[in-house]
Amino acid sequence: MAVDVYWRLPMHGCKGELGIRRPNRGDWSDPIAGNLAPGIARDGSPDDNRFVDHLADIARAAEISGFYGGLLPSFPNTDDPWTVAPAIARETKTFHFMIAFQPGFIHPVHAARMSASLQRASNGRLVYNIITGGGGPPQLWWGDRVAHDDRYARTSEFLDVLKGSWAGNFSYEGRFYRVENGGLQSPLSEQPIPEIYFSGSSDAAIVSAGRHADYYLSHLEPLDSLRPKLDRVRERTAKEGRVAKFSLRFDVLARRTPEEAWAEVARAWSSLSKADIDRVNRPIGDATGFQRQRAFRPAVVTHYDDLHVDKHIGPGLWGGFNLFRGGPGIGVVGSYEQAAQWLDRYLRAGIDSFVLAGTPHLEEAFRVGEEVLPLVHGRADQQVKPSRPWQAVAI
Amino acid sequence: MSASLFWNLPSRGERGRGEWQAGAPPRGRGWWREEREGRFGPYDYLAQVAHAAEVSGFDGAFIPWEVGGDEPLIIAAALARETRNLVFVPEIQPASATPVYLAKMAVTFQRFARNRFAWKLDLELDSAVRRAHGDFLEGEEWFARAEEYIHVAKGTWTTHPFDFRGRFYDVERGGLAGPLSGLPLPRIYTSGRSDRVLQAAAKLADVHLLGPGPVEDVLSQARRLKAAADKEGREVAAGVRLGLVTRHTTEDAVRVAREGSSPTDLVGDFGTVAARLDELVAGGVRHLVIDARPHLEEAYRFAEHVLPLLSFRARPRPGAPRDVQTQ
Repeated sequence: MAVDVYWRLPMHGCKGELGIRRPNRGDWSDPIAGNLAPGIARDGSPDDNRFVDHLADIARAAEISGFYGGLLPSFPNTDDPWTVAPAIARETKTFHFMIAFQPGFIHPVHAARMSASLQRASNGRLVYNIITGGGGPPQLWWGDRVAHDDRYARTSEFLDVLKGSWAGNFSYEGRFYRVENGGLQSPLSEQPIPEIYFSGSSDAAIVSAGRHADYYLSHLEPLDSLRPKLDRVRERTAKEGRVAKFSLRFDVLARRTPEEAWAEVARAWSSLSKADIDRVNRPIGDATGFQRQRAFRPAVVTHYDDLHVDKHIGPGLWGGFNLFRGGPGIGVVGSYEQAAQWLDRYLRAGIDSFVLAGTPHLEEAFRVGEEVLPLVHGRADQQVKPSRPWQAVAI
Repeated sequence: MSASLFWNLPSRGERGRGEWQAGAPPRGRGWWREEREGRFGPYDYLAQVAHAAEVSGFDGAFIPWEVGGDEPLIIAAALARETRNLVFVPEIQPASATPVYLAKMAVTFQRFARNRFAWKLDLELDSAVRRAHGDFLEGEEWFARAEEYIHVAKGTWTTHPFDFRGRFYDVERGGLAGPLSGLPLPRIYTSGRSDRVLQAAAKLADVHLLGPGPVEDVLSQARRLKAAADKEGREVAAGVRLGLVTRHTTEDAVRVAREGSSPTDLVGDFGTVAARLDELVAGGVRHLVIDARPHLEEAYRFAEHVLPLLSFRARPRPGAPRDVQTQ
């Protein structure tokens, strides 16, 4: 089965360069020189471009560079994926919208309605990224007081109700949800239920994933720590009589040569203060995935060279991306060939899908799509024959 | 004296029109070359209706929540970027998403669509339909939650940090910040005709859509709404959603109304229909939601034949820029 490769839509602004302190694309910082979407009009006020205009451009860049779609993350200070996806669905052709959301926020019967409507608006291009973790103060921002392990019980119930109600005439009595003779009707019910990418590293998450995930989505981890995690998911999924598939999400900073790529890292690193570097060691919430990521860093970090990961396997796994944005730390830095080699290593370790990202998201979608993906070999079972050969055109 | 005109969008399809996606039932006997399947879908038609409403001079699009229909929030977001001035009023069920999440989805819409979002709560939904959608509250409990829902949605929108402990919702250090803050609050529309609903609307609504009916019935509801709002010390604008069938002659309109599937609150020739709408506006009903089918053709018919007769609409001034009412 072929590999689905997604790109990320930066839902809270983007930076023209990794090391810029405040995002200059979008309106998450005060207008600074070089600000875009909105830009600065002749009279100094913001111009009429909205951040969604830029998001639409990134989605189109990703789809014409060969990505299957993109992940639309969701945090309290970001634009919301359930509004962004329909807003740009009709301006894209093949881009699949992987909407990140927490089941606690929408009732599953309504989530089914919204999803089927979005399938109709996009010709079947909706994918779910079900998130349950997070926790801590952000969880209370959303008005959600349900405790960590209970949230996974709720997620399982949510997905049971969502799938059950899709066909209509559905009743349910659970701990979190009740439905009496509800669900979709034709023609909404004829839409496909979206594929489910499931995030979460704790035991409770893996139990829930075993039942519901089409893809188990993990942050990038060193191969030796990732393998046992995949085995746990595989084992748990097999107990449900299902076969697990896996996806990894990470940043790629690839250039023609390794030296050029590391020069980018060095330039970005020089923009950091000591406080910036220390900040990443502070714990946030009860998410197990982030705690795992911290374990791969040395206690004291003073130079970007301190953040190499798995160097004995090959150069280019680096754990400092979270110094420049929220989210997971480990990603790939190196030449196009080195980056492609890492993708192949993970494919051979059993990965079936990638969710990639790079800064700036628009230009890097082209770079990764044109320079890195074509160098990846893929596993034997992932090969698909092109439906017809490309015509060589001399330019 | 002025009024806002809203056009109804067909959120549960239009007599099979617009269903061209894969798996849709075949139309005709298949003798002509057919390449629509998979290339067009129901939203292509919805977009045409929204365009028609905008071209026809309507101020907004009303998107009803229908059992078995498409989700109004998704329709609004999908069409916003293809229209320029149209205000979208999707109908929302308070049990569908938490008020924090509703505010978050709505604020993104406000940012992207230049503040053209309003929201509408149905205060009279049938209780079996509510239970089918996971909402088992009844009576006073239901209204208490609706009040708290609006309070939390507004608080999330306007206050940072927002703290709230209620019967149904808790929020700690919440509230929209940064570029998500400071945007105009969406207008809140409600609908229904009972005294209890009018009492709730008096507390919650910016605009209340009265039950459809003859002019005198609607105006009498408007007076009850005003009395309820006065008690709360608030101003709530009155509106109404009317099913319309209109033609050159009343005979034609009556014939079409008998044959068709349109709702028939207002049936008559162009002049009669315009006179009734003028009476409503003169009586203080300032938000008119018109539902006529097929939605595309009837938008144009209304714009060409009824609009020019309405005394509350501005007369054309050659050479002057067109007057756009957005609210």
